[in-house]
Amino acid sequence: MKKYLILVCTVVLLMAGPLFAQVMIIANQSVPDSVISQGELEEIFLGKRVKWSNNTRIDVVLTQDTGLHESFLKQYVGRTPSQFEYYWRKMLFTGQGRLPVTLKSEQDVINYVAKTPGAVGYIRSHPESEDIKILTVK
Amino acid sequence: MKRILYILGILCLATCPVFGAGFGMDDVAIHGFVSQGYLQSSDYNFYSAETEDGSYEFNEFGINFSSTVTDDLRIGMQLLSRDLGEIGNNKVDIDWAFADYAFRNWLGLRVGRVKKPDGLFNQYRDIDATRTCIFLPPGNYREDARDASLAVNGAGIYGTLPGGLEYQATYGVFAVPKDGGVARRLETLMGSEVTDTKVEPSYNAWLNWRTPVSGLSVGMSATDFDFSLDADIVKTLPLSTFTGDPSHAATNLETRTPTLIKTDGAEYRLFSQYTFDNLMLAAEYLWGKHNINTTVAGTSVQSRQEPESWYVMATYRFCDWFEMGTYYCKDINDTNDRDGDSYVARGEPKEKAWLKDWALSARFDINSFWLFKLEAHFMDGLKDVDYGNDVDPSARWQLYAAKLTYVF
Repeated sequence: MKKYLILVCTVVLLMAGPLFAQVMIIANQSVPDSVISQGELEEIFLGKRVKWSNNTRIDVVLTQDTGLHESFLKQYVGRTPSQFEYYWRKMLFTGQGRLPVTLKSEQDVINYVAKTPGAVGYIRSHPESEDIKILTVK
Repeated sequence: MKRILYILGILCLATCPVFGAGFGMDDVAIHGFVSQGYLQSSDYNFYSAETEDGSYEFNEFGINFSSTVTDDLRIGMQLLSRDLGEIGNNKVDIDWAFADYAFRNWLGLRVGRVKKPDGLFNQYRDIDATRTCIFLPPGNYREDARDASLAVNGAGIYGTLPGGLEYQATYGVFAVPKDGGVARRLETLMGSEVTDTKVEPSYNAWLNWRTPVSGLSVGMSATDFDFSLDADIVKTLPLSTFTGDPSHAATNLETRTPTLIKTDGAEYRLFSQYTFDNLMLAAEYLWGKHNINTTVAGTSVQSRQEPESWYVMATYRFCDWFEMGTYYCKDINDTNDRDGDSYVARGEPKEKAWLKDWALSARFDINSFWLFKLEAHFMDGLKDVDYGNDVDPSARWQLYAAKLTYVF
């Protein structure tokens, strides 16, 4: 019985692994916040929260890295990539928002966030740039 | 000529790769969509199109421009052209055009022609690429009232409040064009010709709460309206009716009776949406109070309608390129006459009091820009159905739709 339980747990963990790959939230050093709630992060990436706590503009950046994008959306926004795309098309064609910048690679995201005041994005590994801070999601 | 320009537009867009993901010129972003559909019904004509014979008079074209002026200020506009039977006829209208100033997360202001939030889908109903179905539930999102319900010329406020609350409110004048769906409906009902329209400013409020339950939101919206239509009831009679001389029977005389129809009232909606992974569930309930005052040749008649409509909807995405959806909608013309007794008293089918629509949709995302949809509607009822001179129309009929859309 114990063996079966271990086997089941192992399978579950293996399946869950790719769904919850490590995702770090990064922001430009100018961003005044260091800790944000998951609800706030969701609102930021859905364009419902457009200002940081000091009332400066939030600049959202996405990545074309499919696995990373999917993990991030599942973990923090609660949507699939297609639902997220529908949502932003709604925002775009009703004038409620502009499409977020989408970059090809993780390094592009790091570079963009480092040089853009108010920028926020997500990556897999710890960045080496000093122009970037890690946001803690509580 | 318009049709030729429209087709040329489609061809240009389809063959021009730079439109693939929209494009920007000096911080002006340009995006758009083009769609062409086909409608076929088993019996009768619906949505003012010749659906019984099959109709291609079903298309949309939209293009928008937007620019970020400062960190807080954005401006933009969208042009929209559509055709659905006798509605639209590819006239190009301003769908929305406004300046948007975001003061805080909890307060933003839009001034210009602003979209009217109502229920789950009203703001987005033009944008085929954002949903699974082709036609939204007909009782809650009337196709013939779309030009009147989409936007107002005025102002709106919006914001996100703590605890997952979002709000929007608008105040302004909506459009009731003489050649629009609302006017056309009246013309069909009364055999009249609308000569002028007048619309008073109206309010609209929308509230949505993203609950602590992941993926679940609930909301409500309310809108009021007050507009009047000047119309001539047109009748063509043989001259002999007036002269009594049978030799005049071949000559027709047109008579016009000036009529004023004033309509005011309000509509309210409760709605909820739940998403879990690739599954989306939605439900909405609408009820309204419409006061209608009709003055014909100096005599006024007051009537009141209390429409009600609800739907439940489910969609599921099976893979990157394929999604299916279904909904059931029940639309009641007047809750004081759910069984259609008033129609029977007038010698009309009782089924004119309702329309029940069970829809099945399939969506194919060919790539990021092209999508194709197929849809079947299994109808029960004759509300808003043009059954011509059929003396005993069948209440059960079907509508089939196909639509190809390009979005950039």
